[in-house]
Amino acid sequence: MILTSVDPIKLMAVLPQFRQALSGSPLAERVLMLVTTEIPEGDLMRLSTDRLHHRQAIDLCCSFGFGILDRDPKAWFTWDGQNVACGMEPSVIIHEVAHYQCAAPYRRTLPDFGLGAGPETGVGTAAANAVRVVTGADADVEEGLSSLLGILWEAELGQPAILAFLEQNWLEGGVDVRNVAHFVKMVATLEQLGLIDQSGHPTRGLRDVDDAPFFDRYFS
Amino acid sequence: MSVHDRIESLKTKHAALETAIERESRRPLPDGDQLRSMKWQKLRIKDELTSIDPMLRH
Repeated sequence: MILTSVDPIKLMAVLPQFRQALSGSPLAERVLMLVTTEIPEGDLMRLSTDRLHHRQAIDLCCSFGFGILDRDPKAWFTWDGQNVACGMEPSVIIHEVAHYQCAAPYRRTLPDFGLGAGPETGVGTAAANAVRVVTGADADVEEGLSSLLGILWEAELGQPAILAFLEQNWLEGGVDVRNVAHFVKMVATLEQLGLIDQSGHPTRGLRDVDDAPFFDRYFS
Repeated sequence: MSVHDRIESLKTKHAALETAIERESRRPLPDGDQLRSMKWQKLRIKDELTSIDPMLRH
């Protein structure tokens, strides 16, 4: 996945404002701090393709019991229910771990977690879409949770998490009250699910709540 | 509009959306885009409500 580079000047302008807007939500502030610990130089503002980062991402997958397929997901699924296709950037591989943790238990063994084909999935697209059971706003929520959790895993591994944070549009809404409320709620939900600890670090937990009660509560 | 009136107005909108979501969800072929939009609207209203009165969070 080739991504547009991010304007570091814009980033430096919005970050302090976003941090300020989170005052009153200590855990969200802490999460932002973890995500922004390492900010690469301007010309390095692209998702890492570093071989060490790739190795770390695969090791993380293995630690969760994933099978590893040394192939491009375009020739398969991103996640086939048991294996991850690792021909992707480290950030994207780590994102799959976060999806695994955020999915309802019964969906961990479905292609692309029952969310429909992910953007990297190729020939498995029809099969992944055929088992899609979570759609619309519910899928938006799970994508958001997985995005943030994956970003926190990157930070945990010492990788430049800020890049995925920007690429996945967490700061796109700036300090708009809705954007800030969305971030705070996502952080709180990860903590309630036991997927991050009280310091904002990712845990090895797995969501144990089924879809209906989880999404009903989220949108209550 | 007083704070009390604002809260009541938001609660009314929240309840109306909840009813509309339930009704749409029960249709044989629910409109996914509409459901998505209504759910996010409802959440934003809840966010606004709890920003006015944190006691309404739960």
